[in-house]
Amino acid sequence: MTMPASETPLLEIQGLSVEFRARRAAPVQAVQDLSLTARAGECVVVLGESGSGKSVTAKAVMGLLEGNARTTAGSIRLDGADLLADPAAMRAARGRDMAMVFQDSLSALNPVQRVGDQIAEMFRVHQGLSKAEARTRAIELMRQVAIPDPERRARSYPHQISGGMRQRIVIAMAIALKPRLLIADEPTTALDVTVQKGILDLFRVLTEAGAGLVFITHDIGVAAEIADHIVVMYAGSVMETGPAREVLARPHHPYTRALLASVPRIERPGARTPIPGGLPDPADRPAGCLFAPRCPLATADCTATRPELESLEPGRAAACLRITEVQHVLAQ
Amino acid sequence: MSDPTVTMASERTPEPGPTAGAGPGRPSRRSVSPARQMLLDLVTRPRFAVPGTLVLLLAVIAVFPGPIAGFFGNGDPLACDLNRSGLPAGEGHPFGFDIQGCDLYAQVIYGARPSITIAVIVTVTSTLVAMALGLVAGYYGGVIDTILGRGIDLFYGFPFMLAAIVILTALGSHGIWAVSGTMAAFCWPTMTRVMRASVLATRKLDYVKAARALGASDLRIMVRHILPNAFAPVLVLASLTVGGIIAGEASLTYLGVGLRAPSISWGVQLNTAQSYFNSNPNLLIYPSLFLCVTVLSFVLVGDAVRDILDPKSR
Repeated sequence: MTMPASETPLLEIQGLSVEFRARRAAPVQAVQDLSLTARAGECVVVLGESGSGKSVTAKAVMGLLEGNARTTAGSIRLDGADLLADPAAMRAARGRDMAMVFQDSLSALNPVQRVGDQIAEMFRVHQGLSKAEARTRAIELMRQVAIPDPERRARSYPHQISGGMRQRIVIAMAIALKPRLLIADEPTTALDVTVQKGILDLFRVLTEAGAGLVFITHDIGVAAEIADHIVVMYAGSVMETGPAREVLARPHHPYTRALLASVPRIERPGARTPIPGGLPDPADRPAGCLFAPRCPLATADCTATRPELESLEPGRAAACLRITEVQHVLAQ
Repeated sequence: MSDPTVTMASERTPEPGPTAGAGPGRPSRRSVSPARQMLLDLVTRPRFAVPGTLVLLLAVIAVFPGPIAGFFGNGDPLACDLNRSGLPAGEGHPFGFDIQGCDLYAQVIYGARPSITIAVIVTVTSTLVAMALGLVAGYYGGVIDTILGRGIDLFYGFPFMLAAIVILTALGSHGIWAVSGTMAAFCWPTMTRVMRASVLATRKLDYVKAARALGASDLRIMVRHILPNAFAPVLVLASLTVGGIIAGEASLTYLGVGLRAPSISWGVQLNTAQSYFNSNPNLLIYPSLFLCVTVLSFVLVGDAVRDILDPKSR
């Protein structure tokens, strides 16, 4: 990927591979050779179907991979410091320098603790504030994420408040210590569209305030709403990356094009074209292009050779052997 | 924003104040803690209230046996007069006299204390041990878990009664602590397994991951996030165990390896009574009646606690 040589990006993932080890079976590659860069004040959306390795990538960055998952290659640098090489740095960075917002706010909150106390805990653990001070700060923070009547809400338990408000609480916890990097794993998926809008606006405000945001979603509408930069993932690999506007307006990779074509549209009901077939079995990935079995443009070459991510124009890259043909078709 | 708790016809009370009382339609208040709500549910449940009152009464008897034993005017269980050996019930002596000529009512009342003391000691220690070990084994897994798991298997290998008899005979001591220690040694393994399983289930949940993602330490995650969400099954098991421990203590004592003669205990009384059942059935009936009611009360309380903490098994 291209980037200005001068500044160190906030988050730089290079060549990350994650595999799951299975008993009595070959390890499963969940993420292969993934590279991603996030800068302060910018939102990078990782877009992909379920099972494309988006969440695994997020967990790898936070050091939250499950017992049988291992990062086998690559580096994850936060402000230049390699987190994979230094678990102590990873632990120190969690909460303070980077934080994560989970998808399901109901399960991401402790059911037996009042939400105000859960936010206040951030200040008590990391800054050693007194109970009263932490409480005041928690209520300030709840006001900041636009929770009405925060004094009263702070005394509620997670199951007593609505999904949108819970997600705001989860976000409040994540931003409590003003981390420079926020990772959001499908934070709006469980919410209805009106509530979704509010949460996206909140993220927008946070990036405008200077936070770097890695936003994971399968929802192209959400991606269009919030992304500065898009990384399209398929079967654990990056298919295409580039500035959001350009990727969505002029997708290069056949997969991105197919993905966009499969979005239901209000103005043209029934006009969407779903992608035929399904994700390749992660334990038995095709040798060539991962998308070749479902690609309308695939040739014999595609099933034999795995394409590399190649830069097309400044800031944009795609992994496709037939990219020139695709661009040619596009130009017409 | 819609709020699930307001959908039920709830009368709003402004303060999360005192208890609701027995009024119809329990008011739902938004900030009642789940623990307090459960306690409220428990206390207002008839299936808990009756055995609960009995257990409370037994606890009072165990703590203050003097005044209750003295209710009929002859409260000293050791004021014995061999001249009255085996006499039937009479004025001031509602249960009659035992073979040593002691007041049987006072003896039975004082007998509650060791039973309940042992039950409390065994339950509390084994629950605490189980919570600590289960938490560590379930949270860290790996080698610690394996070692602990095999240790527990070892304990499962012994039949409880036989092992307890062997240990108590070998110890040669028959005080409350020896009996409690022996029983606790066989109580914690089951509880630890239950706790471990529950921790394993909780550990995988998102809020535990979230806490870690936000920089909480292992100890904090275990104590603040896993323990409060994982201890319910052990609590249920513990409350169901109390009755069994009382019965077990009485059995050991009856067999002669538990508490012994100078101590006053239901087991000791039953042991003595077996030889005199034909001539003095009251010697057997009263202690066993108390024993049965006590065990039953604790078991029913345990059932009610399970219903509240684990509504699915109802």
